[in-house]
Amino acid sequence: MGASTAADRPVIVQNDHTILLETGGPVYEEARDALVPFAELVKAPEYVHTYRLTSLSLWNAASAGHTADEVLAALERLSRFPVPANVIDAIKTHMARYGKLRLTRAGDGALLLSAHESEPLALDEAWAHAPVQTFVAERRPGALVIREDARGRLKQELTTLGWPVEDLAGYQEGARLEVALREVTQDGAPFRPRDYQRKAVEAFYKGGQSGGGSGVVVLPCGAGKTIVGLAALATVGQQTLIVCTSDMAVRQWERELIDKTTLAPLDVCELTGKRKELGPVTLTTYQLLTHRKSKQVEAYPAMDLVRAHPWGLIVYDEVHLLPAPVFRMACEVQAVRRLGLTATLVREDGRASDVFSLIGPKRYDVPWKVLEQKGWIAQAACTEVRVPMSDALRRDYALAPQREKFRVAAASAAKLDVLFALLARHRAEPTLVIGTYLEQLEAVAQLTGAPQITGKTPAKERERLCALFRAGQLNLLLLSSVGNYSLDLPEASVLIQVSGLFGSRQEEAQRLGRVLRPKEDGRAAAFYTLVTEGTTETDFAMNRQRFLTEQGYRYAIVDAAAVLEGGA
Amino acid sequence: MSPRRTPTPAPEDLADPARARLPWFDAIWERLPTSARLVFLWAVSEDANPVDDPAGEALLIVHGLLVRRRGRGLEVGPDALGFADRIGRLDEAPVLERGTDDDLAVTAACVVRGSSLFELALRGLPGASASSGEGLAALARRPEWLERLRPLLGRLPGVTRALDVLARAGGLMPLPRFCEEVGAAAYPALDVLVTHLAVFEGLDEDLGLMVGLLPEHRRALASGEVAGRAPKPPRATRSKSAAEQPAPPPALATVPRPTEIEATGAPLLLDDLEALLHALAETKVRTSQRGELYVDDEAQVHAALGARPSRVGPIELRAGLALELAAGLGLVREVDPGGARGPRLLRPASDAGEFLDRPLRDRWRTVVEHLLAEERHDWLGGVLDALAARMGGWPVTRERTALAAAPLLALEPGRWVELRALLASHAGEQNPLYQLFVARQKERGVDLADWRPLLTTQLRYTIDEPDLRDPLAALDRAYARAFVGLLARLALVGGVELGDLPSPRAALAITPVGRHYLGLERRFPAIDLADDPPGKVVVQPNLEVLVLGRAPAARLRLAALATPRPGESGPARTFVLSRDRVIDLVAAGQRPDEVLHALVEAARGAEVPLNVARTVQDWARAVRRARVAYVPVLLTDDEETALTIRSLAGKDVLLSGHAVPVNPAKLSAFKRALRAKGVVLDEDEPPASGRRRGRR
Repeated sequence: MGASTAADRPVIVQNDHTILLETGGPVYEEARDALVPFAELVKAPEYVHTYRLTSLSLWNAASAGHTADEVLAALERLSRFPVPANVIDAIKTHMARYGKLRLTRAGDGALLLSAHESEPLALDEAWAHAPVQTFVAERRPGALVIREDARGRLKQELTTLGWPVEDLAGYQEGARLEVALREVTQDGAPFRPRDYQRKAVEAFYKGGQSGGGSGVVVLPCGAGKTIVGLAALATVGQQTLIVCTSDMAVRQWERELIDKTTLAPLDVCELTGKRKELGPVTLTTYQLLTHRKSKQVEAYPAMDLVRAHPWGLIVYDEVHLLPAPVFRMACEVQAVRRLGLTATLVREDGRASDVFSLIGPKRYDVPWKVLEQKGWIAQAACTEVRVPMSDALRRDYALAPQREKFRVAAASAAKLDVLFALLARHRAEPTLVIGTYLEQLEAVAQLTGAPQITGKTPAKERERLCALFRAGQLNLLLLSSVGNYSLDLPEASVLIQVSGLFGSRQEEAQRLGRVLRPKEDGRAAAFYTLVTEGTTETDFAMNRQRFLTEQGYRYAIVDAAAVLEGGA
Repeated sequence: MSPRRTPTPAPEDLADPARARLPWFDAIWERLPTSARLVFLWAVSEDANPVDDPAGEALLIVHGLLVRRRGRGLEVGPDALGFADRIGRLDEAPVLERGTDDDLAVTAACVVRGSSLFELALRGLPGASASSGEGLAALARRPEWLERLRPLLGRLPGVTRALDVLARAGGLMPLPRFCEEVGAAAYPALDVLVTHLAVFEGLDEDLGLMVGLLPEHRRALASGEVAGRAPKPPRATRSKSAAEQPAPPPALATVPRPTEIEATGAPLLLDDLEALLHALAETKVRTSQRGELYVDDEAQVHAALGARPSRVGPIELRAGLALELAAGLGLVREVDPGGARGPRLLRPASDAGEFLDRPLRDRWRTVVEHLLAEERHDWLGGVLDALAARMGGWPVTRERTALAAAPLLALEPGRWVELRALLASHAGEQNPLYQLFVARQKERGVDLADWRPLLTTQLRYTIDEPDLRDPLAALDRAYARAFVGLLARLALVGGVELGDLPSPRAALAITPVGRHYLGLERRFPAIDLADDPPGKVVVQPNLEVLVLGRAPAARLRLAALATPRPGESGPARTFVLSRDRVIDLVAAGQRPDEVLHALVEAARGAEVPLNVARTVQDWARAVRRARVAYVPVLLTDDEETALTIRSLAGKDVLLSGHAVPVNPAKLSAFKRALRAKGVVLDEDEPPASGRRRGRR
């Protein structure tokens, strides 16, 4: 290690189990690589990144074969100050607990929960926990026979109890599928997954060992999560269900599957509103899976349908959007390998930990700025433009009821002048304008003549407009919130958001992701947010930006006057 | 008192061997004429009638017993204060004048001789609530007392001989003769015997110093009730075979330095003081009108101090010390955020940051010197005494510290010894009461092998329920607790290192700071510890400000600007810039540019990202002010009258576009809601009510 004195070491371990990593020094990269196996990256603003030691992160490390001594040695080598005694104790205690309870298969195929010989009382403690008893089909000497359908819930319960189960019972083998990644796409372009995409799949699959095969891969928008999904599919080589956020996303996956894998079009089936068929690779949506005739009916017909199919892998796209009923399904299909893909893992409903419990732990995570430095995603300049209120709007805003104030501010007509100034500045660049309020978008459409994609736009029309944009025949496209996800518009390099959904960090990140695909000419992306000054919109904007600032992005705040004068 | 005149002593008296053995002021006293002694007693007492003896005054001034202060007359000389106290109290308890059988007077005289430990021991004895003297009398009347003491005290140098000399003299003799006959060990033996309530001192008719056996012991020795009594030689001095002699005290072994040691780096009290000041800056710690912390807030302070694992406790003691220390050093101030009606807040004073930024040795010395200076009068303003009393702790005075410190005085700094061995050795050489303590530790649930319970729960090891049949036991408890209390205090100021040896065995080593604290070294020692590397402040674009490492002044400044991340502890501190804090600053009178300047200052040269600077400025600029004014409102029964009033009032109608009437009953809630929106209310004094005016 290059750090010669304690003061040069980049890591600070706190008593509350957070770890601060100072960036910029010569040892930063080494320290980051050392922390990743056993600590969760919480945020990565520009100068100091925050990691956290949790029981889950330590159990993950233990499951990957790391020992407590290795973890402590790394921390002591990198820490500027002595590692607190309580942290040392926690690392030793947590890591010692992993694997003390194991799920295995008996000779007769029964699912057995047993204790490691070094901790025989762990099984008694598990049995003493009342909810665990409901999962047990039979007691055998030194083991409990667990009901097949309770495998997920058992693991959840025991994790809560502090006894993470080492699941060595394996996965059910799905129907075989002959599939590989192409070396040349159907478009004739050479294709090979990027280094980090291959690493993500390796971290997920773990060579087919029972310790792998489930988990979440977190990559920035524009970093090619779909490619990770395709590579995982090719690695597992079994029939696969891919759950997407929308029909548009289904189309995009379908296009990528056919373009970049050896699958024939007939191998890719669709369980959507339009087509209902199951096949070797089936694309569906969360909306369809959770559809039922009425809220009084408990059954989800589509879910029952897919549950019965011999999948070898289920891919949950944008896993941070997973709705509650799908969580339940994920809980029940623990015998199937499952991969979650996301850019943010931020759930505004606070259920991020459910993703960890039911899909699996985070297996791979690369900070946005790391990919930006390596050129895998475009650099982006984020700018918040503060637009003043007119006297009339100021009065309207002051008199509006509390819950209407945001809308009054966000839909301010004064933003249009600034928007036009920005459009003029980026006249030659493929530009997206995105907004939450349809009447605001409509006003922009009327004044610019640009087409819009909203929830009401038919799928075919959406496809047509996206294709025109991709082909460079359309330079300006207006999007409502449907544009937050899965619109494949890789050429867009400027995005102007005229309004957003209150303080949604997830939406902000997704919207930035629309312009992060690296540009062929290497130019940086521009991301503008128009905010009405002196209103609650500025507060919400600050909250929206939190996730991205924690990923290392900086926001410049400029006044509308500067934009209008061409200065900013 | 009826003094008898004696001639002024000649210089050749100094050759008198009896007097030559006396300490300085005792020797001078013996040479003084009675008249001069009377002048001295007048100066010591608060007697308004001066004794007219210019020659006596001159003698006293020459010998340093008195000094003449301009405008204030005669005062006791600074070096003679202890002697004056002793003579004054002997004069107040004229034992010999009232007859040696006056138990109460005799025992009261014993209290004179630095027997404060007895006061403590006697809290649990009959009569203790009335006065210490009565309690002592009760103890001294027990005929078995001396018998119990003899085997213990007999091992100490000079004690047996002193008892023998006194017994042969009939139980009472002048101090100079006693010293002559006992020899070099006379004073140490006298100290032990007086402290252990076997012997008293007194003044004869000429105010000469006398020494005598307590009446009960004298009678017991004379009547032969006690084995080994006078006139036979005391048991300990009779010829014995070597096998019958008490075993020599065990040699005190040096042990290896333990691997786990308390009090490396800065002493706990310095850390506590720093943690306290940060807690006061980062949380709201309220004090009542009586200056007491609110219970919830006290818990916050305890939590802030408790973050550092320590062998020393309890936390109430540490928090109390840190608070008193902060107040004593002028590092805290009370602010009044809500007017006279609300609680006051305890905040770091403006000098607190500067103090915390000083080098370690400087801070350490300041704290120790402050404590030593305070201790001479009333250590920490009596708070420690109050706390100690509440917890069954041990009141600290310099005098008691000296008694309790005895086992430590001979230890060289840095020499590690086992606690149990230290006490056993000290018991054999100096204070036999520790023998009882060491021997009885288990039956009393005390573990001398383990610091943590000893210095936390067992610090409360009290004499609440003494065995009244065995007062000696009460005394050994008092000694032990005094010693343990002193160790805890020394550990807090870095005066002693506490460590754990395997088995386990508690071990300790006195430090140079400890020797200074105990008065064994005059100068505060050089500290062989590097200061912590300077900390660093980082302002992040996500509005977080991090203090990495130790940068206390910056941290205190940031606490005024930003909200600390709750639950965080460790070498780094995270603050989040928040609108609420900025509104507070503007409400307190700061301008937007001053708020930003304060952030830049606190950042100590670190870059403040542009979006952060802009956001902070915008928050500050967005603050609006409104004023609560009290105006008369005319209420009518019908609209027409209201219109009439309005037409007459014209421009005098105040409820124009810039005035909003609000329900006074909901004003407080409204204020809070407005503040959240960045509107700060200034409030006029409400007008006096009509009824009150009527009374005037």
